[in-house]
Amino acid sequence: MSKRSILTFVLVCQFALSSAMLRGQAVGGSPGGVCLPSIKSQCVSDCSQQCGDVGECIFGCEIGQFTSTDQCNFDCNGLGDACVQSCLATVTCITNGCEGNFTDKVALNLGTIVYNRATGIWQQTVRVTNISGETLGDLAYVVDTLASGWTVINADGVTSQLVPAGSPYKNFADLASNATATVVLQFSRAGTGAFTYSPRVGSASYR
Amino acid sequence: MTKIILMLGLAALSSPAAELYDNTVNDQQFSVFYSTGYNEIGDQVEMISPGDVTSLDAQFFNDGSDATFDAQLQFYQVGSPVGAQIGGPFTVTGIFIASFTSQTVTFPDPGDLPLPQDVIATLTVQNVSAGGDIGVNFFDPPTVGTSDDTFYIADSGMGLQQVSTNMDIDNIYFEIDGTATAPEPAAITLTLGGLLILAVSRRRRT
Repeated sequence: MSKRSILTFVLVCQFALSSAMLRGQAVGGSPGGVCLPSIKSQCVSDCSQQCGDVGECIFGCEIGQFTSTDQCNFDCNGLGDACVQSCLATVTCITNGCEGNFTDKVALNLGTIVYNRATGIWQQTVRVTNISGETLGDLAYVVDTLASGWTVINADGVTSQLVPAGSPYKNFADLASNATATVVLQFSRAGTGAFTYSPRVGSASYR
Repeated sequence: MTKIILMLGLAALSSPAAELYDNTVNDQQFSVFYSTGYNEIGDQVEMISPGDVTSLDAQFFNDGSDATFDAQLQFYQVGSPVGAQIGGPFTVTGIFIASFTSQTVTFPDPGDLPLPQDVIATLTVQNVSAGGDIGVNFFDPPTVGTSDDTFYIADSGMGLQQVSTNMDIDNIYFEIDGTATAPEPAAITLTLGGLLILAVSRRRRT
């Protein structure tokens, strides 16, 4: 039996033990929304194939199906970057494939960022139009990878279930098919950096 | 009486310099800044008539520390969405602007530059001293002439395009003064009316 095979066996056993320990706890990574099991298994399978015979990497893929960055950090502790990165990649794959990601079901019209001279607050008005043909509910507009120096000051929360975590989001009302909602984001700025970010739209399970 | 009507009409036809476009009254309190990602910021406006432009006022805001900067004005034909340049550019250098204040800048005489009634005017800032952060102010609606408040014109590195705040206030502070080169409708009406009365009265005499 090769050293690598032994390592893989040990890691899988470790995984089984830690999973048993965590099962009784509130695992902070499982999304509350519906996520098809086939999506999870496909993501884990794709990840594992890319790992070759690197045991730590395969282990990370397995951990990723808990869909939590916290779980990745906890279970990959001491196992190196290969474990963490494969775990995070699996988390991203699953969350992108799960229901709750409505980014491709809406059309986004991002207004330019403007400064209110009376209040000293920066503001952006975003129009979100439902192009899915169905009603979308429990919605949030997520601001990913906001440029350095900028801060959302009227966020309703920050993402914890997603990769990247810590992105501010703004809730807005259910959206009927072909309806348009207006989301007003307010920001503060330190310095004079350009304004950029990646927008996402999702449901409660996608935050 | 007929002569008075004619004189008034003819006087209006040869108008002295006047406001061709004025959007300096209704301050919306919002500004857009070059530092957020723009090289050039402006607007498409419809003056009350084509004209030979003698001056243009623009207004800037500084949300940084006291600064000096240079500003450049450029006119364009309306195209898809921006057409060919018209004259210029016209530059004012060494403008001082205090921290968190607005500063109105008058661009030098463009030499009676003939402009079409629908025209695009843009502003570029250069040589901004350290600590300064310069933007242009939104005013809406104009009080002389018109402008669509659902878009303004800006270049974020991909050429001049129509952009929008999505707030329906998208008109930049501009005042354009000059001499109208096509009569206003009222002047035409006045002149034609005077000529008509004159023709009728002469016919009656004969």
